[in-house]
Amino acid sequence: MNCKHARPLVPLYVDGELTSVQSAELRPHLLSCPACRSLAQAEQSLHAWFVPTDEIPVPAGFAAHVARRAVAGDTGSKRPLAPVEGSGHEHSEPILQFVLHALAVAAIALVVASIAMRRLDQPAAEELKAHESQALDASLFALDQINREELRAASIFNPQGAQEGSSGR
Amino acid sequence: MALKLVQEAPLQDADLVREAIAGNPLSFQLLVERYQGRLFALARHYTSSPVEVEDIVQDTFLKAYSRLDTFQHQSAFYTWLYRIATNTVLDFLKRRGRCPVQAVEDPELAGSPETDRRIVRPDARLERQEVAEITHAILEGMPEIFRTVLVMRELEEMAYQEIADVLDISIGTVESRLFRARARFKERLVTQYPEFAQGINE
Ligand SMILES: [Zn+2]
Repeated sequence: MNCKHARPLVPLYVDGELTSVQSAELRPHLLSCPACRSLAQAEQSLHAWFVPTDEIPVPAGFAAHVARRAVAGDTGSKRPLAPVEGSGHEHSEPILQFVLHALAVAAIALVVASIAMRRLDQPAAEELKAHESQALDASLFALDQINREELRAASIFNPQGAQEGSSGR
Repeated sequence: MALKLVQEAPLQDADLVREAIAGNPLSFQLLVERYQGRLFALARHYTSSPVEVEDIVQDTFLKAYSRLDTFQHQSAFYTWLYRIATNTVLDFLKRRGRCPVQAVEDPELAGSPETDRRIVRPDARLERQEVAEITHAILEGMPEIFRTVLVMRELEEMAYQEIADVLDISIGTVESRLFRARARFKERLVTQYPEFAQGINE
């Protein structure tokens, strides 16, 4: 085997994608050719950059929560992104408390509003019904956000305290 | 191998899928439990935010459930799920606007012979987490098509065939994409972090 044939096989060799016959053909060339050997070493050296990262634990009750939403008809793709500022920043506890509080207030307001709208539904206007269902959607979404934040807070601040199935959703 | 699986997991993925389609929510929950850890790890390769990871995985399972009837049973359930997860990740990256999508066939990305032969081992002074952070930062700036293959090959350690199945491309495409992705990764390493990734030409 010469360099022209060996070169394109080197990445495959390093990735373990060659057949045993192909590997057996390439190996003698790598042993005798410094250029191709350093190419193989260069390929291998790159792999050292891909180290396992710190795991993000699956929150308790995640599967039950997802299954419930799935069965309820949530198809996932249409939800807005969670309102996160940047990424990789841990919430400090007071901010999280504040966010939870604000979300709770907002959700209660929305629920109250949607109930109030239902009460006002005397003229039986179609448009009112549309508004009502929108408000209800929004409030359900807000409630869901709170549940998620709560669960997350429980797992961040009290990893042992969050017990399987006790998420209460 | 197959026999061992039967003994350890009496409920096969295919059975759970069938039961979930038939309306048993617990079956779907079992599928989620079975693969949630792997999908959390997968999403983690694209973002370090726990909130975003959870969103991506949840979205993946919700999408999977809504089109469970399209699962053909020809491929493994996890391959199918992994494909949905990858699409969800790409969608997520697009919406976040973090990752350039272009640069599909740019010959400049193929790398030069000098780059190919450069050995770019992480500096011994770096902690494991620091290495991971540098790698993550470089991946963040790479076009999606390169980022996904690098994650699949280098971090998920998938075989070319598995990558081809998930991305629905040929093995030859996996090969060339991976080649160009590595060249570009290396190029960025030595230009952005020359102090830690000295190119040693041997
Ligand atoms: Zn050679």
